[in-house]
Amino acid sequence: MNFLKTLFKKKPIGGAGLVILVFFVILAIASDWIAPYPMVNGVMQSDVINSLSPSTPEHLFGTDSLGRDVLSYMIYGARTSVILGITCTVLTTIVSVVIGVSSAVIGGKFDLILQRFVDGWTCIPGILLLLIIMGMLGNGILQLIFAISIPMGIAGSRMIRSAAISVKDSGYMKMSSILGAPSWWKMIKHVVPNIMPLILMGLAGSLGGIILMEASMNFLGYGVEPGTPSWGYLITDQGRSYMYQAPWLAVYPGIAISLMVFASAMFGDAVRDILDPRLKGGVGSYSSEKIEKQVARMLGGRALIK
Amino acid sequence: MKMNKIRVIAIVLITCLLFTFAACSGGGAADGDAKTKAPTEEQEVAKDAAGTDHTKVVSAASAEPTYGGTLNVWKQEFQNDFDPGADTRANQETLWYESLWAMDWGLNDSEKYPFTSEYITGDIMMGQLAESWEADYDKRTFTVKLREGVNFQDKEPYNGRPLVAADVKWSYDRLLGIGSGYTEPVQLMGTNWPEQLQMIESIDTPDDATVVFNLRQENSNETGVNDLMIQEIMIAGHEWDELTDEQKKDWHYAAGTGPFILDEYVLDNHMHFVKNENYYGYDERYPDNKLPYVDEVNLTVIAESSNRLTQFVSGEIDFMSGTNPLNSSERAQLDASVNADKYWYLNKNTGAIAIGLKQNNEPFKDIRVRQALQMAINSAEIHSDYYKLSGDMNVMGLFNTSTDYSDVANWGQDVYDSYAVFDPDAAKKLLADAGYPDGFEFTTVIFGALDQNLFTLAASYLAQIGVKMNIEVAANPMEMEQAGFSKDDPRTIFKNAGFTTLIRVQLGYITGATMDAVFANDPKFDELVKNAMTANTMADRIKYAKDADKYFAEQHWILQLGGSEQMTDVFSARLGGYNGEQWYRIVYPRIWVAQ
Amino acid sequence: MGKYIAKRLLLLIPALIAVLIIVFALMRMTPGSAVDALVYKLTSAGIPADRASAEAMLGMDKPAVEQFFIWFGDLLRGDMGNSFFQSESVWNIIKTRMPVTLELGIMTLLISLCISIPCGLYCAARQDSVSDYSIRVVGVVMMSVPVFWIATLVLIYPALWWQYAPPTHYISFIESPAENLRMFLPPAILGALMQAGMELRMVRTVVLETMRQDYIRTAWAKGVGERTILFKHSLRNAMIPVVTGIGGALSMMIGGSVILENMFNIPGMGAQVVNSLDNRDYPVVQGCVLIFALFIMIVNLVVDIAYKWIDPRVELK
Repeated sequence: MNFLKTLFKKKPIGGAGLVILVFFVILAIASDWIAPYPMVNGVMQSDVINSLSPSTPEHLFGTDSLGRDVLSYMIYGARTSVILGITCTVLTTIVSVVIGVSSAVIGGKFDLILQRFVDGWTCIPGILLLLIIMGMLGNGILQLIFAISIPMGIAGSRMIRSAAISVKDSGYMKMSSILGAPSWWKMIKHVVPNIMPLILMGLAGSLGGIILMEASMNFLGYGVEPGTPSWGYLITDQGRSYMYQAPWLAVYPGIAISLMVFASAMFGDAVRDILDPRLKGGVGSYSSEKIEKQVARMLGGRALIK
Repeated sequence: MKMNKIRVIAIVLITCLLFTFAACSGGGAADGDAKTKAPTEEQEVAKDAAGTDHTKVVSAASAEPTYGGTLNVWKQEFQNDFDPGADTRANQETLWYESLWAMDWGLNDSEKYPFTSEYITGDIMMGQLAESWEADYDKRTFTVKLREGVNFQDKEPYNGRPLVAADVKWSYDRLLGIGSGYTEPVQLMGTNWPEQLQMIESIDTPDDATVVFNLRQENSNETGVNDLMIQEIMIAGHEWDELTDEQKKDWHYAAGTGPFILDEYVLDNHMHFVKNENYYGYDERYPDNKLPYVDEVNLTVIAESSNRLTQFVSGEIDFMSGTNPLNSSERAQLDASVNADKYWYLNKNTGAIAIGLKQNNEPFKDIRVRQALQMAINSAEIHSDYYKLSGDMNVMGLFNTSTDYSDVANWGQDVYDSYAVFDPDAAKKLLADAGYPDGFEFTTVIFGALDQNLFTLAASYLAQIGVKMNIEVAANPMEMEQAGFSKDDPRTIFKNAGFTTLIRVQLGYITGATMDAVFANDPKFDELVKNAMTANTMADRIKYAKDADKYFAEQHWILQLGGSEQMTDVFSARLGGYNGEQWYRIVYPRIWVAQ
Repeated sequence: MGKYIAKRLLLLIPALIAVLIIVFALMRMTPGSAVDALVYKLTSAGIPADRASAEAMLGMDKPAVEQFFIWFGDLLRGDMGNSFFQSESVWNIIKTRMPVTLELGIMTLLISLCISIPCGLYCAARQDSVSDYSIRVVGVVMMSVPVFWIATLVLIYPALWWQYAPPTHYISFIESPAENLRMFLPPAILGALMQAGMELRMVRTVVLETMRQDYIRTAWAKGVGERTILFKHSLRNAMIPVVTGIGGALSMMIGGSVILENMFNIPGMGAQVVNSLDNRDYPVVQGCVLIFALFIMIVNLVVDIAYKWIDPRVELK
């Protein structure tokens, strides 16, 4: 609650970002009730006679080439994007934390080998990886979630690991180990809450990128199943094909995607700023050293560079 | 300070919204023009808002042939294999390789021959390297006289030497493993010449200009000779055997007797050809004119369809043919923005888009289920509102309506109506009778290049009668077809009606390979196919094929989705001397371009 | 320093092996696909084939681990295998395509740096002003618009209005620099714009942070001019994370090139990967991903060394 108050008072743009995101989430949950032309039997209603019509009273945002109401499509598309976004973010975080923390805590040979895999993984360009995984698994939203989260999670685990290592080696941890050999479980219990800020920073801010990746996958032919409403598909297929006859088809998903990217970027920035004023500002590709320093400072210890 | 920030953001957002509404209303005005109709195969005329007929040949080139210039052609993909026996689907090799025969594009008598028929006989095939031919069924021979004065191109490895009968023998022998040093047929991906040319027992060359094919006993008849006269066998010489493996893959050694010499090749990007000055051919329409007319030919692969549109509009590409180089909305863009006297279209026969239902599996075993599904699809609406075509809907059977094997012209109105019907209530009732009152669920496999929206539309129609169709996208046609081959795989696949060729049915019959789980294991159908394949005369073969075609349609093994996908070739007005029919191997040298 | 380089090079090897294993495992996730494709190709030509014979033809009838070691052994000898469906060796295919993608990537990087650094500096200097916000908003818009959509606009409208079309024939830079640049500039500029949106924010952040440092404050107090502060002091320190960021940016560039190459008909490795993936041509995809990964590893290594060289205070693990 405190967090929200600080958010809206000190960082109103970030607050606006949060409001936009919440708006999309509401759309996603209540799509069947809000949409003027809800799905029938899991499929959107088509009305080919009225295809490609511009804004009319019956169809506020016009129709697409199949005569589907664009407003309803956008609403259901929000559902796809939100599901994608939330699940990916959560999954990514879980994967990052599991790999990063376990690697840091267990250490030794396990850490060494695992980190080589992480190194290798991060060297493969993101889109290629996505492409290959989707190419192998086929189209579909589940596959897309899997394909996006796992690589992102593994890539993010590096940062988590660095932070976890700093915490692990910090003074009071060493103290508690003197008092008695801690079990791994206890160490994890100590480490994770202390790197919470970092985790939260990673959560926010990645949503927009995920949506864009989904749109790109649709463009290359490897996205969601045909028939699943998605903004990426609207831009890729309808927006591009009918660019001349029906330019509005690309504008709506374009704005929606931009809004989501914008909102998540601003919200992410705000979260970061609030949780650590010293890291103010945008996204930076810091080396692990810098993060370590910052985190250590955060925890009140001395700078712990090995 | 804070108020400033918020104000700025607000201004930016509002501006964006304003743009949006502007775009909407702008688009609305264009809407009236947007519903351009594309022509159908029944010679429907494409008229844009100005009322221009886009299927009429327009040519900025002079009426009389002119020499010189460059021809720019778009290709779907390159074959990347220079072997003379390679799979010839991509057709690029016909610029430098030639064969004994080529499909006549009506040069000799365009009134008489429709030349779009699959039915290849001496009437419709013209001789390319062959000058004349004669069959003797008793002696089991088929004698071909070669053209005089043909030389190979002045390029490695032939260096301009004359063509002799031994070269023809060599070309055929290696594919069948019956001579010229070949005891086994050469292995080439995607081809099965031994089966396709099984009527040839051996080949003799009594002199340098005569080739005698000795036919097998059972193939020494009209159908055997008909199947022998194909245009896919490229003629090359024994020098190919002496090349190293590296050289065989090198375009520097790709040469033949053809009208254009390959002089540049960038993998999957472009090919450049120059005129073969020593080409033997003369234009049949202007007997004094030595061919070819143009100096250079460019073949370019462009993957992205909006880039193709761009290249065509700006004049970089003169001709596009293949599976929909431009989709219907891009054609509409072209119509609406480029002068009608700069280009024209040719609509080719294509199959009707359909979903093949595997009639060996539940629930498609029952013909009532298949009919019910067809009744649920509003094909007329798809035809007129989704594809925006006028005129009657296309319904096809097994073979394309342009071939002699198609029986569509003889179908009764009831067969046609059974595909054109739209009656969801009757469909539901029929489903209930067949035992599926609550509908059922099934999965269809399509491949990426297809119009996914059409299938989504079909799914929405089916949803209205309680049938849920899931759509799976395979990465390429091969994977999709794999799902189709397997009888146990419950998934249905995309199928064109009217797209099965006789060769495919023929090969399936000869090898016993399961061509398709859609029409597998029906005794009556199998009988008809067998009779067609073993017929001695063309007349008999046509009769049985037509019966098979009609039976196929009556059984509703495929769910036709109304309208046919237009395979539309796009021609620039720069081209001259060409009426658009049959863009085939002999056309390249016979075209001239506007200077 | 030397010891550090040696250590890093040594660490490269296990990472490389990890990449090999990952790539190989990914390809084999649905092992049936290439086999199915081959079976179909044969059957549709009328040659009876079944999965067993197709598998043997592709060398896939052996257990996966054995296949991996065979591939690995070949790699050590410099043989990347042959494409399943094109009659070319993988290395030949990569050899012709790698320089193309490299060229596109480098051009995009250079142009995006030319845009983002000046803009980032400007925004930092004029923090919270109207121009700062508008540039940042434009940056976010650039980031969030899908690149293929803008590319389609760029392709279609100039053709309709001015008959302009980007060249489609690839000519190497050595043969004809002008022609080559004509082909590469449009996609490079588009890609750079997308990249710049992100880099802009990063540059701005880092410069701001640098400017908050005490030594900068001292410089202000001493009366040093704004330009000197900006360019001499802040920029140099700001370069560090930017340089580090290049590593990540390059990775994104390669990804972006997949789409741009496809749209502008550039015969590069990105387009090759998509094609081969569609055709289930495993060896080619494996080879391409391997080369990409190797390239990125080397770039990261160079960047880390440069980082250490620029700022010796920092010790690297």
